[in-house]
Amino acid sequence: MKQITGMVVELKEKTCVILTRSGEFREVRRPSREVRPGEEIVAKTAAAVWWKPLLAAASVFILLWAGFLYSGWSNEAVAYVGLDINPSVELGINRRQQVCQASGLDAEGRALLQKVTLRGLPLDEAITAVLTEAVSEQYLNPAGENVILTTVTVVKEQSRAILDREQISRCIQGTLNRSGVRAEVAVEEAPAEVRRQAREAGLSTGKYLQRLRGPEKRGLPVPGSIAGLPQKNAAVREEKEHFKTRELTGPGKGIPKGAPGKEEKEAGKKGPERGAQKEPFKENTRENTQNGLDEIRPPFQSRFPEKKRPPDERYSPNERYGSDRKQNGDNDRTDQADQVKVKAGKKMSTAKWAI
Amino acid sequence: MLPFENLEKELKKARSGDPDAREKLLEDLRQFVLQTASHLCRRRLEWGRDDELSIAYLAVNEAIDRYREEQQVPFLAYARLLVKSRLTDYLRREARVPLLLDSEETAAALDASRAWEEHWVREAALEREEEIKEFNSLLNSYGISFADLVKYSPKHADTRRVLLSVAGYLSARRDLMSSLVRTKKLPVRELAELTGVNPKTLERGRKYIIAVALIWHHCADFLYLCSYLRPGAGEEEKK
Repeated sequence: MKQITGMVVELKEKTCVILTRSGEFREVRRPSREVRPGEEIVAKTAAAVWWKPLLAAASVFILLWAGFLYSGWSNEAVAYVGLDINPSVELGINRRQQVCQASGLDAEGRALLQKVTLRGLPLDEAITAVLTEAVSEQYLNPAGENVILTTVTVVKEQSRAILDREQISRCIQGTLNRSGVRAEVAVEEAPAEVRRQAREAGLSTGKYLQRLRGPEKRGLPVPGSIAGLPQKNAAVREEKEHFKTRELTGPGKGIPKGAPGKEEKEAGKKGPERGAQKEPFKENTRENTQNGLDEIRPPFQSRFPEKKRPPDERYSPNERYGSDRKQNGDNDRTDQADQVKVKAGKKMSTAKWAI
Repeated sequence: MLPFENLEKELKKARSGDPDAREKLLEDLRQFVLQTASHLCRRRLEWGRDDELSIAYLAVNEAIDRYREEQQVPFLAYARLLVKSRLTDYLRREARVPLLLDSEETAAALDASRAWEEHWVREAALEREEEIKEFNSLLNSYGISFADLVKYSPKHADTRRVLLSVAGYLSARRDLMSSLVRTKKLPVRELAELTGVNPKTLERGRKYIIAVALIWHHCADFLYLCSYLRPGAGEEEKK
């Protein structure tokens, strides 16, 4: 409150009007001592009492309104997390890491969402719920090859921090472990533009990404094996290290999702460019696999010497690449593979593997 | 009407012993003396005929010497007060009808500087109050209240400066002032043309302009207000 000097010209109940030397007529608070018109006084500019209640009201309004603006309350999706198992769902996350919207991007996705309520749940819980439901609905096969592709998209750069891919993959993995299901998990980041295009194409972000990278990467037949951009290779690969790896079976062994497994993933992660591909990449679509399990692509062959690989005893180093490499578990896992095949056979008919 | 800046300069010079300056000053103040004395005596006075004028004249001369600037009282007000005292004494001595203010003081008491100081400080305060009251009623006759003035006082220094200069211009123009007095309304269109100020601005600051113009036009009547609000007051933002 600043001081102001002026000559009193009028006295009111609680205030008085003064004329300042600079020619301004102002209403100020009446000084405690007795003043008469004509006196020059130095007053505080808390002009009159009239604005106090107004200010109070205004403050209340502002507080209320600010409360709405406060992003903590806002329920705007600042990021999207897409889960592609085979049902594809996408969760919109608000600033508090809660799910504010959930949409199924294909029929199964929508059906799944019918079964679980995700709105308002924190991201972790939502993911768990989805996965659990997927397991119980047999979308995720406890004994089989599962791939979960997760794409995260931030809408605004400043909310990037709220999405922690590590955290998401840990969460997924945790749920998987609890359900006793193994799966390939990859967590990718996709820019908003990509997501938008995916929407336009009618696909989930993950599948769209896959398709985008398809012609380049070839040999990324399944969701979950999408290689990241070079700088993400390491990160994604690290995630993979935590996961139980998929068995690799050779062609014809009946891996529903296609033969290229972990090793392709690894190879794929080594760089955006793929080596010479022996076969044109075929997406593992329903069309392509109509003939059943036989339509399995040959294992991916990469030119790149692998630099890093997850410690995996199943491959002998020399036999890592090449068609005559020992397929992991050829001998000891045959039974399981057969089981998978059987199950996969069942599942194939339900077109679950249609991507 | 009463050029305060000049007055002060002259006053300073006169006080510092310059006889020519004093002459000039007294010459300038003749009109003031006449008005004040006439007002106090409530009759038309004439130089040479009425003693009252001489007394008043002498009082003003005395005021030049006795005036102290620190008192926040404008010189003219001080001079007026002194004239009032002297005249009151004179008239009482002459056994005429008591005047406006029946001052208790005698000439002797007046000379005792302390008593005199207290006296005219009180007097000045009373006069100020009177003046403001008068001003208030004058404003009311134009449909303006002090509350209005608070509302329409330009808060922004620039606007204030503009309006004040308009008021200054207006108060100096007899014709415009008489038009104002007659119609109780501001001749906005003319003023806009003459000053080049946007009519809208003038409209919004209407009441303010009128109030200030009135003060400056009737400077002698509103001595305190007038000296408080010097022409060019908009520039004085120093605090």
